[in-house]
Amino acid sequence: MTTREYNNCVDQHADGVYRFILKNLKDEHDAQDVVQDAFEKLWVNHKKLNPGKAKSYLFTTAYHTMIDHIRKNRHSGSIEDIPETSNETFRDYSDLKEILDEALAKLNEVQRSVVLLRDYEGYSYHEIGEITGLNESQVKVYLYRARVYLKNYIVSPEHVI
Amino acid sequence: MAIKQHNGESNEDMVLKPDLDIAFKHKSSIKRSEKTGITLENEKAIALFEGDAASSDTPSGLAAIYSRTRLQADRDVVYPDPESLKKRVAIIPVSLQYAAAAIILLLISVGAWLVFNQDVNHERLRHDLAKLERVSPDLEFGNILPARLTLRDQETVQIQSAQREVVQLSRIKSNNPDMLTISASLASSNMPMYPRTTDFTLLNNDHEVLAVIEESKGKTLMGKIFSGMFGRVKAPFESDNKQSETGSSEGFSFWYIAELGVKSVNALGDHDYTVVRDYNDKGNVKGLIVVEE
Repeated sequence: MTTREYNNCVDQHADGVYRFILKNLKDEHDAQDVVQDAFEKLWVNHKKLNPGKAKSYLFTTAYHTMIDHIRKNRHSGSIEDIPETSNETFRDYSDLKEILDEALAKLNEVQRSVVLLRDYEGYSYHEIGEITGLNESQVKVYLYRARVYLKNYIVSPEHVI
Repeated sequence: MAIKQHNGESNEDMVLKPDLDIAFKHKSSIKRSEKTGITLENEKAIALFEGDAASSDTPSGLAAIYSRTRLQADRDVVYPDPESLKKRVAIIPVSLQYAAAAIILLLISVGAWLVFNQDVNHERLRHDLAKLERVSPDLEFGNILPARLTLRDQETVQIQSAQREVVQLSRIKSNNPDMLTISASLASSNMPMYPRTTDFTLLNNDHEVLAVIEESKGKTLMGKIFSGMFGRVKAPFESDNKQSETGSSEGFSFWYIAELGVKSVNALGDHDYTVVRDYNDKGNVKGLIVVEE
């Protein structure tokens, strides 16, 4: 990959990687740090990389950096720990996106990442597996369970718009 | 007896038999998938929604609910400073030692060239300018510029214009009493940076007041190099003199010399190279890098 191709990568993928990480970390500065780190690693290896693999490399690097970051900074519960019905007080929701964002935040980082990669970037199970280090079956299980959780969340009485 | 019979019949009739026609129709909603652990009904709906399965026996209503779990990326969220992630193209990493050696070699070469060419020019000037002492034109006008000549024997003649350009005349010929042809070159040295032929038309008969009819010509290779290096040096009589006024009084530093060299390369080859400092871990300059913007 040439320097020009690397710079094109910045134009094409910086926003996507940033959105993906920001949705997970919920902190702009942390997300920017992770994106910078991912691009720095891409730059270090840019001569060895095929331009067609750059996007996958970026998401993979950013994902693992993010996971490390999360594990260092906070403990994240798994979906099994989350009760089916929330004990939160009822609140008003203006739209589905708001509810989905809230539900997404309650997923664990792996499930959240799988859903985001699937919906935001349109990756296949195989590609998501390459990024997250899971096999295709595991990706499917994580995705399906996450979908069930999201569905249960948006149809639960306290979240009905 | 009748009662016994009745009781016997009654006991058989009292046994309730299941109505096998009645069946629970939603078994799939409580069956669990071995793979995902979620109910088969949900699994089928998700498979339909994700495009993993065709929809034969999948409840469309459930699939429709799952379709609402599709996340939409917020396109307004963008990385705040993508330019900071970009890299400039490093063309030639140059160590200070190599750069110093190259510059010293260049200076020696230019000096030698000047020394060897100066004598030749002087001889020619002495011959050609035998009758001329000074040419001092006022170059503030357009294409027709007056000049004043005074006859006297002198080796070199220089014109200091209002545009801070030093023009050294290298040859003056007079083919007839009314016309002098002057080949002029720009610079304080004898390098023919902007060779041009200029016709001086005598305005009166005393051979003192002349008019310069300027005719533009392209820059020589040396002219391009110096133009690129110094920027402010321009061809004689060029109208745009903005650059000529931006000359700085900075001393020649190593950095400055390197920058001038790259500017000259840009001027010659229509490139867009820049010299940047390469720092070591301690923040000290360890070399220079020529980069393409």
